Amino acid sequence: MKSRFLFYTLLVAALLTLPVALFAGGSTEAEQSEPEEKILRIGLRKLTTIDPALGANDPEVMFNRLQYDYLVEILPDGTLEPSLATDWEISEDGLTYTFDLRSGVTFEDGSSFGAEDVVYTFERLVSEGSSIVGLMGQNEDGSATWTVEAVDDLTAVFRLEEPNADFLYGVASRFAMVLSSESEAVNEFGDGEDTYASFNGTGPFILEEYAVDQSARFRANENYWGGAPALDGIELVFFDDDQSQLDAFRSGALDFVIKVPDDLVPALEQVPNATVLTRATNTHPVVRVRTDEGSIGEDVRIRQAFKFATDRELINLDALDGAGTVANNDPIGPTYGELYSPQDNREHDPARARELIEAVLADGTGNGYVVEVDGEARIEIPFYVGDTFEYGLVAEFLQQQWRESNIYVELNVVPENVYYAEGDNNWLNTQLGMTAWGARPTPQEYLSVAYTEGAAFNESRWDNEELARLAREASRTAEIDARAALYDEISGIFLESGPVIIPYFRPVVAAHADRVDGIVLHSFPGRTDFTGVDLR
Amino acid sequence: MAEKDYAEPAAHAAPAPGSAPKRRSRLRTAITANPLAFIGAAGVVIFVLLTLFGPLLAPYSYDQIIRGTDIGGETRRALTSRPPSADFLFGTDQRGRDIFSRMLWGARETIGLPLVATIISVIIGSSLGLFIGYVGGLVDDIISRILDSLISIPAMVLALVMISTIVPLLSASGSRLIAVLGPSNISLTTVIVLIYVPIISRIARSATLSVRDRGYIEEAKLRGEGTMHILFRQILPSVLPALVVEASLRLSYAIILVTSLGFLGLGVQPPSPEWGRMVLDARTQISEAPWELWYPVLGIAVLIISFNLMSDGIRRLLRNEE
Repeated sequence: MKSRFLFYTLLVAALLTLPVALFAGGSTEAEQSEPEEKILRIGLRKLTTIDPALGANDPEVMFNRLQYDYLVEILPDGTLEPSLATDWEISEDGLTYTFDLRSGVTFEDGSSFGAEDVVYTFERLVSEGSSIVGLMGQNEDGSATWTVEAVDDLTAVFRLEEPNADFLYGVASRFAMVLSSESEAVNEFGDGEDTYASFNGTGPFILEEYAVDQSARFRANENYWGGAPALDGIELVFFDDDQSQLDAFRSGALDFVIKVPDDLVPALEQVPNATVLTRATNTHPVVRVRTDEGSIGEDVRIRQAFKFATDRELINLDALDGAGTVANNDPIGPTYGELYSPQDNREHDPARARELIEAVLADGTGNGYVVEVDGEARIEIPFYVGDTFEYGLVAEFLQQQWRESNIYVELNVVPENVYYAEGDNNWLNTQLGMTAWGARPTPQEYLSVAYTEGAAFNESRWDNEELARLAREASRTAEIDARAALYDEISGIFLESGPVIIPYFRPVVAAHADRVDGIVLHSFPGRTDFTGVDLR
Repeated sequence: MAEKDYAEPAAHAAPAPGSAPKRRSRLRTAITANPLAFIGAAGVVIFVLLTLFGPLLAPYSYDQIIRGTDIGGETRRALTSRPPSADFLFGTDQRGRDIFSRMLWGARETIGLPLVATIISVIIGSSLGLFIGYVGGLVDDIISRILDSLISIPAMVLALVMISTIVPLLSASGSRLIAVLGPSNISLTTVIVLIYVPIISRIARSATLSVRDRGYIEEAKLRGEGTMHILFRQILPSVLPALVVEASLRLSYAIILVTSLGFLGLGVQPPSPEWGRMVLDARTQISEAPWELWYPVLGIAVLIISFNLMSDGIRRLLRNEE
């Protein structure tokens, strides 16, 4: 009996001692090993595309801007700053833009950066159908109204058919990352050691490993022309939903998260050792109906009915706790300062909305979306919504509000990467949808890429000749007051016949762990610059 | 343990057959014999009553966003994330909806849809199982292999694939009937039927195999009874107990499947009060307004435990009767 007691005592002692011994050994080893690498871990939603010319959303832009540089950089406050172009000159007639390029810059494969790369990059934007060509100048057939040529190795010249006050913003746009003209492909996976050879940028980080829909790991580019980044690397971790992303941040598995929806902000503020960043922006949800032949909004009275049916002020209070700024039902918000003018907006008037719907039913112009139920005219239609920010919540509030106006919608809230992917009910095709539009440095970009006939992102298929004329005139007008007057007229057209409801402009919210130094949140969070970021 | 419990009635004095005291005594005995099963059965009865009459008891509609002005206040704002109180027994959710009302309305979707789907599965599955078990031969071999291949597909994977393909097709059909029934409800029911028919068929088949060669079946054949008569009047009563146990178990699995799909955001869309969907909607509020999560989670747990306890009790009862 005694020997058995002794045996068990020794066994328990051995079991207790073993982990201590192992742990002690481990720590000795750790003390002798190299210092831990400084890897910044960023949480993002999944990527829809990895082509720099086409990736419009924050995750895609962030994925690419780590590896590539812009010719001209847009700072968080909207001002322009030299990047791969050291200087530029605009001719007096506003038709020629000459860019002096930075010398001594090399791509990851060792080839030198030069004017031919600029030509290749911008011609590729046109050939790939990038939406930004609309802002830079585009004909109805999709071709550009400008050309670009290499005058010498370090000088690139753009020639425009007509002046464009926003052309520089096009050159600096989030799509216009400079690519190597010598690359056989752009962001395509190769074999073996060449897996990431076509991810060939001049940027501060180099792609090391990309697991689709899971993560992407980058190492610092020691030869970066702007000086080696303080970080050793960056890891992007992709999530299906914001809650999982927040949980990962809370657990310490992430250092930086962007685009936090309003309902998660209180929980975010309780995360210890973390700093919440907020920036007022022109970010907004666009509730839009299609206006082309046979569509729900072909009859302008339906567009007006949706506006009368919507109490935007209440949506801002209910969904965003009043943190947003109630919008004009057009995309030009107060962050544009003098270019913004408040409109005499459509008040919430369900009775008026019902009258309009009745009139459409009587005239038979509802294209099958206006039906008679129990002797009353009503709109019945599916409503597709990408689950960006709190927009799913907004959709539920709208669903309730609209019923009073006899608008009955069947909600389909889908993940962001599904809503923006190919599909019959994606953001460009659905009859009634809600799309997330981020901040743009100039309001002209919204008009050029989303609200003119033939524009790449004209999701409502709106074709208004007067608006197109005014938008074109605004693009040629650099003088602020004259431009503001044009935008005021444009806002009036949106008010009268626009196919969109824009309930509010919202701030963007991000957060970083306190061990992160030097992050300045960009108004378009995907463009946040990490070259000056360090970890304590 | 069960044998011991069932032995107890012999110790009591038995009143005259059919009298009220005897019935009470038998009930008491049965409850004492398997109290958990009766707790489960009582729970199931309550949930079924909720399914039938819940909406009548609900103070608000499941999708009504309650504003300050609705309860005599001045604010037009939605009364979002209010804790449980006299005005709102279970509190309100992030959209300003009464959670108590949503729970009552949601019982219908959470229980009703799996119940209907399970009944359809049992009818189709048992008919098929009886038929192939009785006929046997090549027909049995072919159909059994097809059913086996369906069983080999994981339920959740099949559900995800079916929902992502069926719902868009149904939504695009433009049929008024589909619109009324709801594409999500139709696709969920289809998924459950597809998953459960092979399982129930297999059970009905094996039960049929064990009785088809018995004397009374041979006798019925000799009497010249038709196949349908033999299947449903002679064999079905013998296999019914096994089917009842399986059906009650399948129902609890169907509830888990529907609530799981609701939690994944598939199947039902907002503002559905289906309890799985309620958990999904409330999970962002776990630290701010945890009561939004408590009630649907508790509801699902109690519901499934009730069905399992009842199913277990039925199985024991039938085993003891045998």
